[in-house]
Amino acid sequence: MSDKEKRRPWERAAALRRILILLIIVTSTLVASSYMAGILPHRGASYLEMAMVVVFATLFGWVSIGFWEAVSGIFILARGYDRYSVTRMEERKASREESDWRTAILVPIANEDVARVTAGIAATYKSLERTGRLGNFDFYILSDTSDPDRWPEEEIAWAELCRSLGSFNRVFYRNRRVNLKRKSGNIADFCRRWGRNYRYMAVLDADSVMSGATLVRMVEIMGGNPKIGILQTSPTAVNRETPIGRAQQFANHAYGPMFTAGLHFMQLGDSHFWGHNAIIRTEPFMKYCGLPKLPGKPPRGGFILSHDFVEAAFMRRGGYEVWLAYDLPGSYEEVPPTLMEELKRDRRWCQGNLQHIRLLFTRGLFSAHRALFLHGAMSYGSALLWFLFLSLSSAEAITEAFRMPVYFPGGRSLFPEWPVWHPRWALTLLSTTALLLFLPKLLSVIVIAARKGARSFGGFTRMIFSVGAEVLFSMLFAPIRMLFHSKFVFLTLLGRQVGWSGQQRADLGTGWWEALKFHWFGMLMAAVWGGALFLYNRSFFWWNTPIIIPLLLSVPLSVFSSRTGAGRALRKMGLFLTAEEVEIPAELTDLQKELRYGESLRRSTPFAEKSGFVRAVVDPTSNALHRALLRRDRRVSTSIADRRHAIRSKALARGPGALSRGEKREILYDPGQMEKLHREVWEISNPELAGKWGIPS
Amino acid sequence: MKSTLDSSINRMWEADREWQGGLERVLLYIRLLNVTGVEGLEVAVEALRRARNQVKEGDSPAAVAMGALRTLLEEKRLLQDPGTGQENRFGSICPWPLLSEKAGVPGDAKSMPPLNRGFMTPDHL
Repeated sequence: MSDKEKRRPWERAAALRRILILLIIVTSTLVASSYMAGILPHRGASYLEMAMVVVFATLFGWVSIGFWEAVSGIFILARGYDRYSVTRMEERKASREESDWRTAILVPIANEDVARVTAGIAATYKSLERTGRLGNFDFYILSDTSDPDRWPEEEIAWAELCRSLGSFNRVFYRNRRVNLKRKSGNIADFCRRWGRNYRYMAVLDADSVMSGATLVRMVEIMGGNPKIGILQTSPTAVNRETPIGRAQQFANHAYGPMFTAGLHFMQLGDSHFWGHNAIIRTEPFMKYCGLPKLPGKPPRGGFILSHDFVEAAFMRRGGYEVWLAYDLPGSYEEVPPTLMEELKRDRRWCQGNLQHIRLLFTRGLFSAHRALFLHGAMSYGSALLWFLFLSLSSAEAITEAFRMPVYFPGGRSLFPEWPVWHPRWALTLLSTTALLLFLPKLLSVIVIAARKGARSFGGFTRMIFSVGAEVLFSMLFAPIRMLFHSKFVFLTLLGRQVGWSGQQRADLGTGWWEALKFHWFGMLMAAVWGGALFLYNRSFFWWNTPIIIPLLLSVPLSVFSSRTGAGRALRKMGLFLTAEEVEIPAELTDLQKELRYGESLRRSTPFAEKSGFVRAVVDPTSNALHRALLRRDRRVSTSIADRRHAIRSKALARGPGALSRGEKREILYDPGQMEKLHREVWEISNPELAGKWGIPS
Repeated sequence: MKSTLDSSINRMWEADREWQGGLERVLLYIRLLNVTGVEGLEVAVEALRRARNQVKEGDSPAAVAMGALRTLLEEKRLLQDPGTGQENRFGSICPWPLLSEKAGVPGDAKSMPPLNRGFMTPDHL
């Protein structure tokens, strides 16, 4: 019997669990849909009402998945373990040779906050050092940075990082000239160049921190389970100070363990891969996880944006398992600090997830991963369905206000059909939906309290108030997210693609004008919709005020939720406290120390306030470092040499501000031109021009 | 008479100001190279002395001072000639010899390890 045919015990358990939950979801959805049909005036007989029932059924089923996922998670948390937990599985002890395993820790970045990246790496490095196992790990900063100012800053930061940690030949830096296939291409480039040197590779995000003990444990699990291709941790959200960031952090802490345990319960070895804070077995990854280019143009075709889901599916297809270590601590990340940044990120993810629909029928994929593709698409598609449902129900409500009742729709009859509203049924349906949405949160809080974990949230009372505040935040922001996600899905389906610019990860705040430009359309739409309902069907208007009011308040909500001052005030009040704020882990303490050290170094270094490009030109050591990291100076064609000479002349004649981004990048690539520019800049006689380079005159 | 004296004084003052600018540049450059203390001052004084001897009518004192400084730094092996590939004494700040290929301090520090090429080909759908 082949490996494929021999089912492992967890596969049988997974199949049973999934069938059970599917049955429950389908049954409950059918019941709820029949209720829905029953409360409508024509009991679902009209086309409009049929469409409403279909959309409602889809949405209810979708919400039920989350609910039963949570219930499964509660079951595991209450028990304290799951027999198929990957942290308890060990097929065999790792052999002596395997203690020489080497692991690469990859940090792919593109136009990120340099100080934050290096601080995170330093914190992870130091944590590994404390385990005594640092010798088995190498770090790679894989840069796809195209910004001509950030690129030299990265080089300087890397050299300073190596100097301060003594980590030369353990922390490496590579800037990729061509950003082919974005992050997945970045990782693939590493694999092609150095992958064969490492049995495993752990991938971190720009804002990730991982504890050394966790990394070592992950390697041990991989060593003891040779069938595991990818092991994903459940990152804990930390470090945010804005109100919206803190609310999400709190939700991640309070409900995250429940949901991830539930995900694990259903997925087992067919789990998600989220692209970071995970460890990968390099050889099968290189063999099976090369991503194809989808036929057609972006956004539906082209390079695969959300590569992680696809890599997991391909890894599984190759015969290796993908597990979620839901109970492994020591894995951290940061959530977007503002609503706008979150929505910009969602725009990319939406486009990436919708692309996965193209892969639904790819040969060889396991059905669990096809379901994950669909699940990912529905994460955003459900918003469009909700929008559609609201539109249909509003249309129904308004037309009912104008339509004359038809008492004998079937023609001649002795018995009229009265259009009847069933408010009690409507309330029952609303309560059921609310239960699906909010009961898991309550159950999670009960489990936390029962396991005496409330202290991590500042105590039981503060935890309850935090839950209340988080629910309020969710209710206020859900309609805004719904509207934007609907727009993203709609635009993607229309073929409008999104760029992949770097995220702003720092708590910088949203300005009023910026927020107005971002939200004006949603506010206008809410005003028109609310106005129409108020005029023509006032009772329906009141039902929808929980959606209309937050949309009308989008701008102040966006602005105030981005203010770090407000977030700190909430923290002082004891709201949204998390375990890492009550007892700070060593890694996060190191992170803060590294950030402060970086800031003080920046203040004391000449030219530190200048742009990276200016530093690379003017500062002799930055200039030398940059030239040393470039490839060997190569002979170029006459036209290219002339062009670069012209760029250099322009820079000398008019200052760095006269150069475009492309011109700066071009000259940064040429070590000979950089050396000449460096010499000549210091010999500028014009005081005003010298001042543009920061050189005293 | 008075205007001739005034213009002479102005020229002298202007020349001093330009030399002051040259001094600031030289000191800043030396500081950026982390040549500190007495040695840094000695290098600065020597560079300016040479520059004063080399400067011609119409030359910018700051430019001449910087040129003299570079020559002096190369003589003292504080800056490296192109292509020699030898280590210099700036390892505490810049681990790579200036104006040459990447090589390292300490020992063989590199930004990237040697390649060990493998294959990762895209899958066909």
